[in-house]
Amino acid sequence: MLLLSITAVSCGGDEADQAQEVEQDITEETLQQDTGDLMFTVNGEDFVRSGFVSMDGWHITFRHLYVTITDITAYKSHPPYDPHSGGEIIATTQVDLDGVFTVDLAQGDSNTGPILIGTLDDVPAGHYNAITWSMVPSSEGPSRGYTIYLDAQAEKGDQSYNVRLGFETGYRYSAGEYVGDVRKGFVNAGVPGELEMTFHFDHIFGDIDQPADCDLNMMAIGFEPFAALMGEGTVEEDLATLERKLPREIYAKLLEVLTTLGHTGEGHCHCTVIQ
Amino acid sequence: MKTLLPFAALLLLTVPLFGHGARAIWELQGDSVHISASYDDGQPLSRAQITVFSGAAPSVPYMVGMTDENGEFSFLPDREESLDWDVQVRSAGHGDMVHLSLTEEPEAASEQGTFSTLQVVLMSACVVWGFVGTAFFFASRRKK
Repeated sequence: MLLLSITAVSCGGDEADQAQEVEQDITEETLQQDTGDLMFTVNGEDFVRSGFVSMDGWHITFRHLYVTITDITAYKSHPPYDPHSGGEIIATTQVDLDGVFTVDLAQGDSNTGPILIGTLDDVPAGHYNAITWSMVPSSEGPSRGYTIYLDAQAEKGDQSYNVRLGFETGYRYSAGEYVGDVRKGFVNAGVPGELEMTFHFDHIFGDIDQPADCDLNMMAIGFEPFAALMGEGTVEEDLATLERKLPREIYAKLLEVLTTLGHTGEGHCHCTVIQ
Repeated sequence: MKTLLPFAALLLLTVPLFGHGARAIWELQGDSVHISASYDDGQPLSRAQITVFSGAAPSVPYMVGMTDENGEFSFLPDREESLDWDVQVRSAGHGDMVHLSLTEEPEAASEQGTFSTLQVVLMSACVVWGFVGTAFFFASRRKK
């Protein structure tokens, strides 16, 4: 005879009357109807629009921060895709946004929202709860040759550097559902849905507003390793030169942290490196 | 310093990479749903914001709350409202979403269907003892 010991845990939390406001009121029934529009947005968040202070005290403001994105697909995944486990996304519906998009994430200020890069009209209604995209080297413009190209100013005390960093490696990100203030991805007739590709650049430089031993700052490399490479007030490097100039362990850490930039809101992604 | 990589030459490395982040898991404890949230390094996601969504109205929070110091949170789902539930956990830029599909009646064991080592041993012993007993039964009949 088997004895199963099950212990109920006391409940926490408040009921629905304390629920936050959301943009839409969608039920299972309405999700079955018709078609609607699906918007795709890109967001570097306030860190890159308004600047921030790195974990080692450098105030970094971005003039430009270009990322180049392509091969964008939205899914109605079932079961819901789990980026922690990776693997193939199993979906009942998937739709592609064609094109290559080079976006300057630094444009705007604290009042600026995510940047719209495209809309698919008349996609099947429902909840798009997974998204994949690739980051590839740009073929034109200031970021030509780079998947990520940042043009920034870094200041600390009386030190001030022009910073131009280009990262040429490509990445393929697979994300589950958007995690944030509101739930996204619901498409209904007359109610467009939105999927957001989010980039967390504080992962590279860290954040002085977070504890020094927090997960973020333990992973980040800060700005000091880049400042150590200065030449007449300018840091201008790419991965090829950084591999030669940075200490081996710092370079390895940089490569690892670059795979963590892609998110959907606060939800993390599964990442593969494109060579 | 710029190196343009032709798209045609791009090859996907199949090595999965997953840096830092938050992870939430769930299990049934009686008729309650128990959420446990932690960072990838195992540290609990303490005082994290919890938002529970019912499958009946998936874009509207059904309940909001907060994990305790151990990154844990429990709630009692209304199975008449929906059997599908989603729970979002967020803290300081980290977040995760878990998806639950319940049965109509609460189950005595974990929804995720795992047995303890003791349970597995006991079940195996019962099966073996059943075979042994059957063998003894037929062996005793032949002697008569």
